Amino acid sequence: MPESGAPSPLSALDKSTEALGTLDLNSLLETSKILNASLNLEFILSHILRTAMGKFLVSKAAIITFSTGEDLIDIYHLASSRGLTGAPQNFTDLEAFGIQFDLNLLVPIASQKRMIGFIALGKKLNKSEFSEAERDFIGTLASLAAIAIDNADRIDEMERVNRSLDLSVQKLKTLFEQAKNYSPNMPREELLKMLFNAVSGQMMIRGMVALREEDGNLVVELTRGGLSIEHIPKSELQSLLNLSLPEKLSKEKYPELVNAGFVIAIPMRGSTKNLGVILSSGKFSDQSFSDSDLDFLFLAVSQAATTIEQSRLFAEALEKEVIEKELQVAREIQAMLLPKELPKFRGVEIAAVNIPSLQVGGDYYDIIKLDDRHIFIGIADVTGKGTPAALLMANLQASIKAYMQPFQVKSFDLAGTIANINNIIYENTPADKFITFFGGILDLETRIFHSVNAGHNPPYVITQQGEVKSLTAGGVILGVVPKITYESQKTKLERSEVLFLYTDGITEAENASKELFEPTRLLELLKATRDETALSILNRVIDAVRAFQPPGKQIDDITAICVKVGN
Amino acid sequence: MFSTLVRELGKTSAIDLIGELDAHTSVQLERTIQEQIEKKRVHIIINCAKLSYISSAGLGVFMAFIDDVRAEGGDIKFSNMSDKIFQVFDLLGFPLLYEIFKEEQEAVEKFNAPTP
Repeated sequence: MPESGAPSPLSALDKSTEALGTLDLNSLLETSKILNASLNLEFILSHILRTAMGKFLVSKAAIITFSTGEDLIDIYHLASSRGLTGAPQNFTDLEAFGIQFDLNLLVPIASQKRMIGFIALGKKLNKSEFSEAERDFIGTLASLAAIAIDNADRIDEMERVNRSLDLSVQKLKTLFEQAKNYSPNMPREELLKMLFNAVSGQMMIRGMVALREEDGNLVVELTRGGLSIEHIPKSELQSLLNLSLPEKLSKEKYPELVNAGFVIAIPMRGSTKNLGVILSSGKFSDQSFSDSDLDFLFLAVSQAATTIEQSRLFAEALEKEVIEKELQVAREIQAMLLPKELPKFRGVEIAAVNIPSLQVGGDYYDIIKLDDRHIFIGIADVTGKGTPAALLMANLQASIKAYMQPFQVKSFDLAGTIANINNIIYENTPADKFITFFGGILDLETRIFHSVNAGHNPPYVITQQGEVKSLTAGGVILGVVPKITYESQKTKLERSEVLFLYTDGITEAENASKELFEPTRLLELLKATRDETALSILNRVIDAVRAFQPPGKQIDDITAICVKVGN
Repeated sequence: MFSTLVRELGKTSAIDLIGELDAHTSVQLERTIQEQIEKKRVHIIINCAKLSYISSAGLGVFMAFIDDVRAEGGDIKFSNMSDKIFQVFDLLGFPLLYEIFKEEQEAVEKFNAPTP
């Protein structure tokens, strides 16, 4: 810079306003060209300062902008400056700043929309005042500065919008990618790791904890970034289970969680209840979570929750299928053990039925031709259901078949045989498994029925007069006590008398008001139908039981045998 | 689709990321970095020259380890990023937390420079 008092080009310019005008125009034209050619605000502003300084020979100049802070106090910013050594970038007292740095001309910079700031100039080196024309010129420079600053703001705004758009696209990409990669047969920990990676990468989150709901409590499943919920009181965690949307954790409601560094909680929503909660620390940048961030987190966590729930349903369906297959096997075993068709005899009508319940119970019956005049008739109810019951039934059936096969009328000991079967069943079953059993041998010529009752519902004999006899002689149920003896009884069946054997599926059938069918109803029915054929009597009983219980509500197997001799 | 290659350069481990680093493959990278940390090799350079795609989940892997690595006196630095890859890093704010170099050698030198 020329020293003060040295010859100055300005003195020449002062002589002619016309010359001044030309120079002014040239300077402005140049500035305007720069304005159009460059988007660099700093470059434009320093060019404007240089122009002013060169033209008026001032050694100090600045472009000062201002913004209004949250407390409504204006804060001034040094957007560009020359010769202000040691000046602060931001300050609040413009007047004091002007005095401190000898800036005594302030020309406002204003765009059409707003007041932006000032061009501030120090004293001219030749100490003269600024003329009207010079002030006008500076005013024009200020307008150019305003345009430059406005443009720069607009570009900033555009970049900000673009960036937020890019971020939204990135969030969407992340959600799509998660959706693509989650699969129901993925281990839960791997799935949560994927979730943590996606979320912490998207938001630059350092610490996260996944909590799983278990019997109404929250259990830690995965942690990252050294966060811990070890010292958080249960009551504080408990309320997290009720969240339906992500929540910023407040000090009032969650003091210990906030102390431990947690900032937000995101529920893992299942279809009926929360599967758990994800807790997160703040972002690395210390920026708070925006509404759009919370939306993203909720979506990301919901995706994971949906997959976890699908995986549970998938596992349940598989398990159900396994059980169903096992039941099917049990049903097949059971069906194989029952007689496919009944042997035919002269002089006796026999009808039998077995209606298994859905769960596969353990009813068994058999009718075996022993020789030309002897028939074995047996009925049993095995404890339990499903495959174990079917296997126990198979055991019983095999024992009966084995003992009946070498039948010789003279040497056969029915009570002893039942005692032997009891021993076999006892040895082959655990203590809680047993069988109620009734078996007898009918001599078709004498019509004497020789029977043993091992804890089974006593079969009935209905006489022609409508009287009832119960066949009770025998002993305890099979399979519980070893080496015991059984009694037997002999009952003469008169012509047209009805022998009826059944399991408790009939007498314990329930109606809608939980009343039982009871032996009384059965007996009434047997008395009323005693003149009909064996098959007809049996059908009447079954129809009555079916009518009694609500449709599709058969609790137990229903099994019955109806015998009518010598018609 | 994605693989990693670990090169030992003195005390520094350079890990080349090859292919696409997404939610699925990030689990694989997690194992690779975990192995280095278990071997106490905590001066890690992630060379992105052959990385064609990175998702948020991929970046999440580095968030998972940065505290562990720095606690052991190490760091994770990045090098050789394409503009496309850098844009994702920049967009999500990663340059705030991680040093990113144009060339791997610059990162190696930074690791080898005596700490002031």
